[in-house]
Amino acid sequence: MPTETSAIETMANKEYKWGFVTDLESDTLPPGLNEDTVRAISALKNEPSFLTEWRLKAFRHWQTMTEPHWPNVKFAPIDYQAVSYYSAPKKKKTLASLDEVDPELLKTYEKLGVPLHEQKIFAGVAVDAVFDSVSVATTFKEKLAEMGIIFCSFSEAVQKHPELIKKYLGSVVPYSDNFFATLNSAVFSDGSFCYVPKGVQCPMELSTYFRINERNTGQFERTLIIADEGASVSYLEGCTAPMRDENQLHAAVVELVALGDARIKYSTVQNWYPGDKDGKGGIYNFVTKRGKCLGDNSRISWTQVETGSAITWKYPSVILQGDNSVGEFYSVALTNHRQQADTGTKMIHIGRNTRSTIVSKGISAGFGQNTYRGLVKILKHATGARNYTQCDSMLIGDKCGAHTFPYIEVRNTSARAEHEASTSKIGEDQLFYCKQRGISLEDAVNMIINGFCKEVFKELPMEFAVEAQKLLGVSLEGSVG
Amino acid sequence: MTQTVQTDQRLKGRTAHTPHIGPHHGHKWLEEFHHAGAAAFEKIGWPSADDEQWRYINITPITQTSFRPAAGPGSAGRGELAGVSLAGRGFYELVFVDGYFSPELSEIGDLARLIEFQCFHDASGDRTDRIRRYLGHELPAMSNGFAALNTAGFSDGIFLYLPAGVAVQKPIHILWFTTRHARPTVVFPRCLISACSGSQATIIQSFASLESDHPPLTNAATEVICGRDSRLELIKLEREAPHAFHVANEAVHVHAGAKFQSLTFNAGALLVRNNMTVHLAEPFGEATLNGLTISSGNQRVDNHTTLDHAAENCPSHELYKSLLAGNATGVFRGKILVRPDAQKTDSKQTSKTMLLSDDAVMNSQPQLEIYANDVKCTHGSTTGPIDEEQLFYLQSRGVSAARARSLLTYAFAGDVLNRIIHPEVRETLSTLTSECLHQLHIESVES
Repeated sequence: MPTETSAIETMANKEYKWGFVTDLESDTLPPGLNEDTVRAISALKNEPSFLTEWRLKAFRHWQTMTEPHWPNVKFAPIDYQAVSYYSAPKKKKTLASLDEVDPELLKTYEKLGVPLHEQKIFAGVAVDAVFDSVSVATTFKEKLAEMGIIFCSFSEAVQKHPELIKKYLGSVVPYSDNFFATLNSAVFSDGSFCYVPKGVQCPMELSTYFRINERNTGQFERTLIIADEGASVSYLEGCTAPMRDENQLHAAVVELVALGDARIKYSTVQNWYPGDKDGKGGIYNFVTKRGKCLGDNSRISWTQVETGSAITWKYPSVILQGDNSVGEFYSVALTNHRQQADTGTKMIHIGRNTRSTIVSKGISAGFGQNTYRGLVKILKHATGARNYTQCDSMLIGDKCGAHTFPYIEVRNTSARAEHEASTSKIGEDQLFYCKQRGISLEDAVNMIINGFCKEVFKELPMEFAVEAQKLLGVSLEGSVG
Repeated sequence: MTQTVQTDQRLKGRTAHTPHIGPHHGHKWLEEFHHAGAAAFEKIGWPSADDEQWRYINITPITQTSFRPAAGPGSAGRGELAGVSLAGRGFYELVFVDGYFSPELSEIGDLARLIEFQCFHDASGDRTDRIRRYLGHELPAMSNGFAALNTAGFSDGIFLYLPAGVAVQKPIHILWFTTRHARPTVVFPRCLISACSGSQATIIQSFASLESDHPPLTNAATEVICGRDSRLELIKLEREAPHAFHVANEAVHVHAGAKFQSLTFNAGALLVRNNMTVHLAEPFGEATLNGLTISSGNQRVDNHTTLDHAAENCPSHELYKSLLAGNATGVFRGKILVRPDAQKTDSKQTSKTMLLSDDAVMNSQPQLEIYANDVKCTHGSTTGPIDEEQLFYLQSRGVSAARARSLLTYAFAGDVLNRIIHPEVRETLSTLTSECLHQLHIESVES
């Protein structure tokens, strides 16, 4: 059907909607990385000595490591010396209210659909906005503080709660974990910190918007979320980035710690600049995300909708250490044009009766290459452990690829691991059926894709579910064939 | 063959090894073939632990033992073969002792009237040309270190040529038998099968060895060409001695409309590695790969399969099952590769494992790599114990726990056995499976 194909192509070729650059002066360290850079970052942030030492330890270790190349993605070599490792919007003085925030900055958020002041009243979402690397405004803090919840930028937590940082930083992702996490440990700039005390149910969704803005600035976010015994928290992370030609590296680390009976839900909608349709530019999203169910009956749930980035390479994982703990991973990854994704999860079952669920939906269009890579490891003492994995891939167009590389390692006889995967193209008969009933091709595709991803979307908090559906529609518009 | 191998970056930290060059009996082409294999090994060396393909299997017991090829066929009579021979069932049987063809022990019957079969050494004229046309084509020496060593070292090989349109009713059994040796010995079975268009046969390759103080290594290589519309069933029976090492490479080329079906049956050896690659090169070829592994003790069984869909409209089916007891470790890595032009591929892969003891380990890697859009590919993998509810059901009907276990394990394996096309082979393997499972249950009761 030639008409369909051309309609499809127009839809597929839609440009990135969120591409713009904000003019702001920045404090930026000159490009390059050595021990002095690490010390300078630490000094700029006025960090206690234990943290400086930790960064240096990581940096020294990083120097002994080599960049890994095992995933199913291809990228040009990264010059780590050409990256500037710190960039902060210039501060005039300490900000007392939103009015004092640079109006340019506020405009950026407005363009992104995140009007801070409105959101305060309207959505009930506390936003810790990360603009490049330094948090400039934090809302709802007082309300959270009343309940004893600490939700602030990572730098602030370092100043105010060093004991918590010292105890939990690197406890899930050690400084020596992998090449990119180690680099992050040495040079991380800022990020979010959250601590929910014993028995407290966080009353609102916590949210951070990341934006990579400064040219040539790698973003090295560090997020640490701790839910103490019986606590629960839901955290949202959403990203868009301006259009750029150079590839930008994003090597974040997210650590989650759930103590006994605690619950953490971490949701991501990632829509960074994927590069243009020829694969030029775009973000390298090389992120280490890991949660640890430290206490019994704890639960960690990752939900991600990955539509952006030139390369997405991440495996949000759960270490199921406490007995009866539960790990969940729900993912939608979409690759269009020349995008590449190698993503999945790791579920490490250590405790007894631990359970994990993995639902992964991959959509490939254009020349996109989408890989699910996941590890389910059931250790010897994980009696009664249970895993269910489902990976479905949808192919749109004949130039894209969908790959599934699961690793299932079972060392306990009472454990059960199930893995199912399927790959197919978008149903022509389904499209035909919809069109026959007067539904436009575009709507039909959206409906089918949303149906395909429904299992994941229903795990997202309300605010995100709507956004995610739209995002998928925008990113995929018309790439059906 | 000097030890220049060490200069190669990829060989750092690995045991240097000088490939053995097999005899060529005055055939110039064989000599060249062997030397090409040795040269390939010098380039690629042993697979390393960093290699994703070999990460679940530790081959150092092989690389650190100085295996020597058998100098000639050891002494073996019908008595030694009794446990592994299938001649009594009326199958054709071609017996190789320590890699050398033994006409006395073989049961050829009227096979020569139906097909051509030929040891490489005796080949001349047309037959040599045919062998040379196919040998090393599907399984190049560069495939991996073991394939290279086989290419360099085989003492003799068998070529089966099924002329167009011929249907061989009785199964053909090729038995590779390793006798007892006074030092670690390696044999390199090499088999080449060419099934011309419209031909039909069931071929069984058995690998067996006598228990010995110096466990032998079998490094086998099999190449199969399924011509247009041919039907070939290829069964592999691995029944090596308990401490033996067994590595096998099988490569299959499937032409248009041909149907290829395999069964890999692993029952013996301490360390087993099977690489099975099927290349669906032309439209409407079909491949069915089955596997059954019954392991206990400290056995390590690593099954790797690759289904390479290079043409459109090719269905493939795969079912691998493992029963693991004791400290056994199983590995299944099955890749379905769908190349850009292989539209309308319909591929289904299933791997199921039953863990019968707390110390058994299963590593499963079902993989899909898909570059075409109009395809239907699925894989499923499960690992778990015997279903307690099923046990309870049987026991509630008066079946003893032990009997119920044996029934359920047999039923689990039965799925694979039922797929065997040739009825007599199915019967033979069903009996063999029962024996293996019986042994497994005895062992688990004793431990």
